Amino acid sequence: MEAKRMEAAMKGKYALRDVEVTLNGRLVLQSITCTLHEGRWSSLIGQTGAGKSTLARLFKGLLPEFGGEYLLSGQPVPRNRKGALLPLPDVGFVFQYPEHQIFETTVERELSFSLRMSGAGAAEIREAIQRILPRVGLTEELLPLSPLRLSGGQKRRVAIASVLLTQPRLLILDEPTAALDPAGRHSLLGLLKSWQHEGEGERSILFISHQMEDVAEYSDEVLLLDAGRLRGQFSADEWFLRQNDRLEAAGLRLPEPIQLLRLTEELSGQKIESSSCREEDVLNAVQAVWQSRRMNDA
Amino acid sequence: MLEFRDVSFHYHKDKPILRGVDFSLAAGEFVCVVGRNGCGKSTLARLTNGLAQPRGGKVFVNGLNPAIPADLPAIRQQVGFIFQNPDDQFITSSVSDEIVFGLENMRVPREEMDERIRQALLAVDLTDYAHAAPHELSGGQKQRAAVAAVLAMRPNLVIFDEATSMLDPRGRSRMLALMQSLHQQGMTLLHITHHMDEVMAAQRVLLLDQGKIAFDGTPANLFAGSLPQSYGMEKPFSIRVHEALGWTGTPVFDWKERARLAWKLKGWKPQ
Repeated sequence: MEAKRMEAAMKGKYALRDVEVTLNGRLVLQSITCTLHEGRWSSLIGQTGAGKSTLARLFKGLLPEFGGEYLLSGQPVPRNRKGALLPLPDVGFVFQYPEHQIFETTVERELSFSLRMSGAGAAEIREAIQRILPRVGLTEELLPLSPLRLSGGQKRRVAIASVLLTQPRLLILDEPTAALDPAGRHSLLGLLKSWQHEGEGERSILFISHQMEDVAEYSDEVLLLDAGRLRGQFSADEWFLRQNDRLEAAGLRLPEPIQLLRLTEELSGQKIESSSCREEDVLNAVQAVWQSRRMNDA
Repeated sequence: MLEFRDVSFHYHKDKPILRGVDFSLAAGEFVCVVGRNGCGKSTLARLTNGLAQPRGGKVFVNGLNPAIPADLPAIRQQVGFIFQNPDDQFITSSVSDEIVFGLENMRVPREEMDERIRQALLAVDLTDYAHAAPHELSGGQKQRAAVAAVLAMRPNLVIFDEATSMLDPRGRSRMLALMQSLHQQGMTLLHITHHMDEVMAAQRVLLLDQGKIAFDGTPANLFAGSLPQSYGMEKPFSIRVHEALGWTGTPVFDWKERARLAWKLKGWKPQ
């Protein structure tokens, strides 16, 4: 198992081998060996304080010092002359409450900032912005406005759009849906999913969330952190349909559809197979059991 | 308890935030306020204790008017606020100092303070954390400390302005349990949230849309139709399950209890 993981870690695009991180004298992450596979939506789950944000920052290259190895396509990540890790340019990072990182005077300047810094021409910048706006559900009328005049949801879209404009290959998002209304949350998650799909296997997502329902609905695979250790990396279906004990041992709540599935199993005394951990499939599987009970009664 | 009469508000004339909002809250009600980001929910909360003043119409808190400066101290004692970010409202260096701060501002006599602190900590289940510093507390504990500070002032109405939105699921469900227990003790609660499951726990829900009240009624009635989706909301899981499994009766917050009951009732045939 361990050897297999090590081998996988060698091949993947973003791979950690036996990583250890100490912050302010406290061991925050230990023995972390994992790979973010290209083109996949990986979610990082775990209780508050489990080390999720630290691991995310490491993937972006924001932690200067750590033990173990960080490999990019099998090669050690670049470091400066003092041996410190450098931020990786093709990893986009959307912090929690990304609207707090908006600092320009207009929406247009905010969006164009990274492109201007990388020396893009005015025409190229305009074209890139026009392409991104409809993708994130924003309109051109907003461009001349001060970001301060936007609603919370709009600000968050601007912040995410400006990260997408840097054309990352790995996009890391730390609780991106917190404090969004339900429609805003669904549209943001849908936007991320289509961004990932359009990358034709080259765009990956690392999504940090406490919303187990969203994790079950959108993830290809899930990494579970508990007290600084990786407790497993499996497909979302494996975690939510077959590894519930491990989730609960790490103090995590099961997604509500899965809770319903387990309760129906308990009531009916029979094992229920769902084709996936997504709500629609789980409800279908559960529905069949409830329906058959009704039939039996009639 | 709380009354809004034809209240309107704007920062810029061309961009109204609230337009003719009319509602009243009876003592002891647990009411949720929902609506899209930017629909005016927080403004509505701010108007209750004079943090913002209406441009039109009137607000009354137990007959007191936040537009009259002389009424404000009494209103601020009666209306407690819990804000979104637990870090923004913790201003002292320990949980008990946090409670003392509010009491000193209210000029509560020293000898009365200890008892008030004890009761408040007990109510939010932080008795063992009286001397804890903010960095020793989780987000959920900080929010509960903020609730303790508010409760010690013996308010009549507590407003939770997206107070659960930055908490993890564990912190969120504890906070909700705390709200339910305050409600049972007769406190009036106004809870602004984007979490539809929390709405199901309340007795009544106000849906704000473009500065107006688009719905005022029970959560079950709000979620029965297609209204929620057209206003950027979604049906909570308890409703989705209720509909998917064809349960009868009024949907309830505790869908698990309902499932157990529904499973049992299937064996019972009506006459």
